[in-house]
Formats: sequence, C-alpha cells, structure tokens
Amino acid sequence: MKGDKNTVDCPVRDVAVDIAAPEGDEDTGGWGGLEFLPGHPLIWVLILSELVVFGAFLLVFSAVRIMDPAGFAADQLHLSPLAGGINTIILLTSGLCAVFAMRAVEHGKLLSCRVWLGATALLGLVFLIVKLLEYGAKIDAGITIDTSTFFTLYFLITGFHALHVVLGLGILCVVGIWPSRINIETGTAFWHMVDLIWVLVFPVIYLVR
Amino acid sequence: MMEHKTVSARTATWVWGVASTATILALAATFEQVPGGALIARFLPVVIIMAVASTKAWLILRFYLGLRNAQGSWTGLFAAFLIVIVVGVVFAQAAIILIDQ
Amino acid sequence: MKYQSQKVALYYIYGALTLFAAQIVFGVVAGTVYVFPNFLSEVLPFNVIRMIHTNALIVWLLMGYFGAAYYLLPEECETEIHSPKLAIIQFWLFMAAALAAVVCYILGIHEGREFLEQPLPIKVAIVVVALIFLYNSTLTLLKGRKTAISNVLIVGLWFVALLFLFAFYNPANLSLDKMYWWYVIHLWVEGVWELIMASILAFLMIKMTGVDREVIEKWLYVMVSLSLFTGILGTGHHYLWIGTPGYWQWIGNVFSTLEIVPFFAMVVFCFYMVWKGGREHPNKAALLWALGCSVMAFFGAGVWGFMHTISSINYYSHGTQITAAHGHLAFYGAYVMLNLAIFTYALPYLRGRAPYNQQLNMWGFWITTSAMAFMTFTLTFAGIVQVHLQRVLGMAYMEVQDQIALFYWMRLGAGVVVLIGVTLIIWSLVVVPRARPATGAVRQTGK
Ligand code: HEM
Ligand SMILES: [Fe+2]
Repeated sequence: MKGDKNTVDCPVRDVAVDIAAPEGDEDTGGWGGLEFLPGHPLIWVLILSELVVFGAFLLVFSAVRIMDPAGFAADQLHLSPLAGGINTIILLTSGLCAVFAMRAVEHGKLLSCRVWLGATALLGLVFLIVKLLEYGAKIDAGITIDTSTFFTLYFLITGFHALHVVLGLGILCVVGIWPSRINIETGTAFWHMVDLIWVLVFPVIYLVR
Repeated sequence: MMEHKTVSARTATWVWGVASTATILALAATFEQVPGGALIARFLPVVIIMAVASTKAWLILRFYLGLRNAQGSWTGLFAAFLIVIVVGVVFAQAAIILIDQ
Repeated sequence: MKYQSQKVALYYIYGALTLFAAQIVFGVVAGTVYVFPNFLSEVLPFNVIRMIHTNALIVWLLMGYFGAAYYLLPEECETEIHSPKLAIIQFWLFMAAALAAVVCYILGIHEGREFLEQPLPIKVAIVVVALIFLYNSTLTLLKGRKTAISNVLIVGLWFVALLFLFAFYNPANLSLDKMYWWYVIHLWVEGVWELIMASILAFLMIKMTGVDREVIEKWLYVMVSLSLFTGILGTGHHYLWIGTPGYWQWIGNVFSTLEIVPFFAMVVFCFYMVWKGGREHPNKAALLWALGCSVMAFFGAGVWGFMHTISSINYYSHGTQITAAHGHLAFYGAYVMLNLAIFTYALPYLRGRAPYNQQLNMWGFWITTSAMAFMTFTLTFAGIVQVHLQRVLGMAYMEVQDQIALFYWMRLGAGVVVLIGVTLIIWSLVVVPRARPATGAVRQTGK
C-alpha cells in the first residue's frame, strides 16, 4: 500500500494515545496475502466473493437437476448453445483486449490503453446485445422466470452475470478516465472475473445434459 | 500491492486461440452423437465439456488474471474452487445416470 | 479523554443503560406471562409488554451508537464535536420520544407493525433526532481528520436513518407490507448495523491492542465489504414464503448462507488483533466484551441464523420459537454486547478514572452471557418440539403451547438470571467506587 494514493493519511501509531506502541510490529501489508495479487486487494475480496456465489449457484443448479433431469433437458432445448458459444468467444476476445490495455499502460501508452479498453467495452456491449436477444426470444416464447425451476435458475444466474457485465462496463469507463496502472489493473481484474464466470456458467447451463 | 508482469502479447494471443478453439470443440461435442453404450454416451460428453471449461477457466486465471505470479497457496485455492465445481457437475451427471438405470 | 465535547456521550450512555434496564424488566414480565397467561392481563396486555420490551431494545441500542459516535468521533477526527449543545438537545428529544411512545403503547395507541409500532408523530420525531445527529456528526467529520473508522461509522448511521424512511410506507397488501418492513429490519441488523459494529470493534482494537491502524483499517474494509455483499441480497431469506416471487428462495438461500462469513471474519479479526498486539490493556472488562461480542454474534446471528435460513427448513420453522431463539442471541451477541464493550471502555475515560469495578463487570458478563445462551437453548428446543407437533403433525397452536410449557419455565428462569447479570453490569458501570486518597488523581495510562 505504500505510495498508493488511496492510503488514508493517518499517523501509524495512534495507539500511543492509549498505551505505548508495540515494538517490532513489522508492516506486512496487512491484507493477508491479497496484496500479492494484481490490482487493489479489495477487488479480490469482491472476486473471491463472486466466485463463491456463482460457484454455489452452479452447484445448486446441478443438484436440483438430479431431481428432474428430464424437465431440465426439455427446458434446455429452448436455449441456444450457439448464441452462448458466440458470447463465450466474444468475452474471451474482450479479455484479450483488456490484457492489451494493461500492457499499454505498463509501457506508458495512455492512448493505446484507452483504445484497447474501448474495444474491451465494445465487445462487452455486443455480449449484452446477444444476451438481450436471447432473453427476448424466451419472452416471445412465453418463457419467464416463473416458468420452471430450470428457467428460474437460468434467468437468475445469467441475469446476475449480465448485471456484472454492466457493472464491468462502468468500471472500465471509470478506469479509462483515470488510467493509472493500479486502476487499470484493478478494473481489468474485475473484467477477467466476469469472463471467468461466464466460461463456467455457459457449459453448465447450456451444454451439460 | 506488488508490481506484476503482464503476459506478453504473444502468450496472451495464444491463450485466446486455445480457449476459443476449445469452446468450438466443446460445442461440437454436445452436438455429436458419441458412440458406445448409453452410459458412455451420456457421461463422456459432460466430462469433456467440464474439462474444456476448467481448462479455459484456468487459462484465464493464470494468464489474464495474472495468477501465475502469485504464490502457490493462491494457485491451490483457485484450483480447489475449479475442482469443486467440476466434481460437483460430473457427480450430478453420474447420479442422474445411475438413478435412471 | 482528550476532548471536552466527548462528555456528551455520558448522556447517551446513561440513557441507554436506563432503557436497557427497562427492556430486561419488561422481558422478564413477558416471560412470566408465558407461564401465567393472565398475569397483569387487566393492566398491561401482553402485546403492550412485548412492544415495550422490543422497542426499548432498539432505542437503547441506537442511543448507544449515538453515544459511541460522540465519544469516538473527536478522537478519530482530532477535533471537538461540532455542537455539544445540539447533541444534548438531540438526546433529550430522543428520550422524550421514547417515553412518549411508551405512554402511547400503554394507552393502546400504536401502528401495530412489529418494531415500528410508534405512532406517526413519534416516527417523525425520530427522524428529527436522526437529522440532528447526522448534521452534528457529519460536520464534525468534515472539519477533522478522516479515518476509515469514522467514515464507515457515519456512513452506517446515515443509512440507518435513510432505511428508517421505509417505516413510513405501509401498503395495505400484507406481502408488500412485509417486504418493506424487512427493508428496515433486515437491512438494519444484517446490513448497516454491521458497519457500525465493525467500525466500533475496529476502534476498540486500535485502542486496546496496539496493532497499527493501517492493518486494522484494511480488515475493516474487508469486513464491511463482506457484510454488504452478503447482507443486502440476504434479505431474500425473508421473502421465502410470504407471497413474494419464487426466485427469492434461491437468492435468499445462497446469499444469506454466506452472511455467516462476515461474522466469522469479525471473530478472526478480534482474536487475531489481540494476539498480534500482545498487549495488556488495563481495561480487561472492555476487551472481554469486545471479544465476547464477536463470538456471540457469530453464534447468535451466524450459526442460529443459518439454522433456519434455508427455504426448505424455514418452510417449517418460520415464526416459531426457533425464530425467537435466534432473535434473542443475535441481538444480544452482536449489538447489546457491542454497546456494553464501548460503554465499558469509554466510561472510565469519561469520568477521569482508571478502569473501575472490573471484577464485577466481568461477573456480569459471564452471568448474563451464560443465561442468554441457556435461554437460547431452551427456546431452540421449544422451537424444535413446536415445529414437529404443529407444522409436521398438524396439532393446534394452543395445544402445542401446552406441550412446551416446561421450556417456557426454563426461559423465565434464564430471564431472571439475565436480570441479575444486567443489574451487576449496570451497577459496575454507573456506581464508581470512591477514589482512594493516595491515588486520587491517577488516570488511565498515558492520558
Ligand atoms: C446481528 C444480526 C442479526 C440480528 C440482530 C437478527 C435478528 C432477527 C430477528 C429479531 C428476527 C425475527 C424477526 C421477526 O420475525 O420478528 C430474525 C429473523 C430471521 N433471521 Fe436474523 N438476525 C441477525 C442475523 C441473521 C443472519 C446472519 C441470518 C442467516 C444466516 C439470519 C436469519 C434469519 C431468518 C431466516 C429469519 C426469519 C425467521 C422466520 O422465518 O421466522 N439472521 N432475525
Ligand atoms: Fe434477515
């Protein structure tokens, strides 16, 4: 955290008010290891929490499928693996652009960084459009979140994920405006997490049958 | 926060190529009829799909999220996460097949 | 005590302790009605007793937070309170509103929505109290040093006030009524009150363990992130069977299960800091309360909450004595103990004395905490029997109540012991022994 602008400006040994400061209390960074990961440590609290939540949802989905495999298989026929597959490749490509943005800022090329971030975000938008088309098709077919357990979980899981894409677009914008190294690293870490979750969500919901 | 080395453009592009190809393969696996008895035909595709998924996830973790620079304990934690999901999904499939028979 | 204006905290602490005593007395009376159904029924019906019991709890906890804020803000911000006079006015207005509410309840005037029974004018008065507080504390914060602790605390208190606004909206549709009701109740205790809890614990840890502020603030950020991440959508565990759409079950199950994590993090935080600091702080009782708070909150909120948070279990347990068991231990462990920790820590400074009555205070801790744990067990067993007889076998409600009468007797016993323990605690905090002549001027270390 040393040298980070975000550090709160406070004296280190406020404790002296109460009792003498402890001797030999080395500053280990205090993030319990999170500081060894790229980006701001707090983004990793979020990433880990998200992975737990989506992981739990995917396990719940699989467990509930045991109860009604035929129903799940029938409902799954309404999904388009092709649309999901295209979206996977879109997100992977978008992630690649984010890596390039990171490399650009490392070399101090701000313009190039912003262009790559723009490409990242643009692909994110395309992902959302495909997603909306999919949802639209469901709704046209009279399918809603209340139709069946399969579709409740489908809409919840992919919907939560899509919300993260929206949030990620916002984060990309913010770090694009203030493209410090740590900001870009933090923002792209979030974006890669969204990517990572999708490559797990897609096969479990669209493909496994 | 430590300084991290981002992957080279070459490696990143390779990772992207592998992951994208794997996606297409996994899609194909779901459409192809696997020869063999009902058991294999229903079990094998799921194993392949999940193997592909976890490979992609692993690539993203290591190269895009930069985990390859982190200590082993972090690598272990994320590996454990992926294993739990893969095992969960594969076991569910196994349970479905066993109940059917 | 470094800043004169910290003294206003004394009003709040004494006020809170007064209402605390009232809360426990009415709790014991309510427990008595469970075993002698006609006890006081002519004078004070059960619903009024219960309202006073629960409202006194909420009001004194809030009063404690205000006191804690007025105590710790000057030290954190390194400046005097913006207006101590306003703080005192705020206190009396709050106290008057609380007493007016009690009078109204006794006269049978209330809005009949659990915890939010206050008649409309009193609700408005509460908002005014909150506005005065927010004005006073935010200006203090703005003119002084900004620390993670004071920021988190004040953000928490802002949201306490904002969420209370949902108390003014009471749709006729019962499902909607409950939906908004939980915006206040759940998002308070499992959302923003956790911010208050984490920041006060962090303050106590900085003061008592000697661990670097830098380290403690990082923990604070992590704990707060986890609380909000799990707690906000965790509201879903109240939307399982009340007529809300079915998808809430999945959201509620997943997120509310994870609500254990921030409570667990607070336990790890407190113990790790104490271990890392390795310092003997003279105020042992305050440290005991702080550590105890994290542990009992973990059990009461985390473990006892998880017990009935999964929709398929809650289907049976909803609104039974299992809920009561959880409600008691969670409120006691998390927020009662939190307030007692900061009171125990602050009072010696506020009164310019070395920590006093430590033994008595710690006896109070053990007696009250054990009795609360016992009460929780009896209510849990009562709840399990109740669920089986009533929800599984379909016996009539009142028939089942007869079957679990023994548990209600034990609960009353536990309540009486709690009353004794609380008496010791309040005595130990309020009645300062006369200073010995030789050490008359001695104050707490380093001051
Ligand atoms: C310190 C934090 C907490 C406090 C003070 C608290 C307090 C309460 C209270 C008073 C009630 C009863 C409300 C009523 O119906 O009148 C309640 C209900 C409930 N609480 Fe908590 N709680 C806390 C944390 C938690 C946590 C972390 C969980 C889950 C892991 C949880 C799960 C539940 C559930 C499922 C109910 C509904 C019970 C029912 O359906 O009857 N609570 N809580
Ligand atoms: Fe709740």
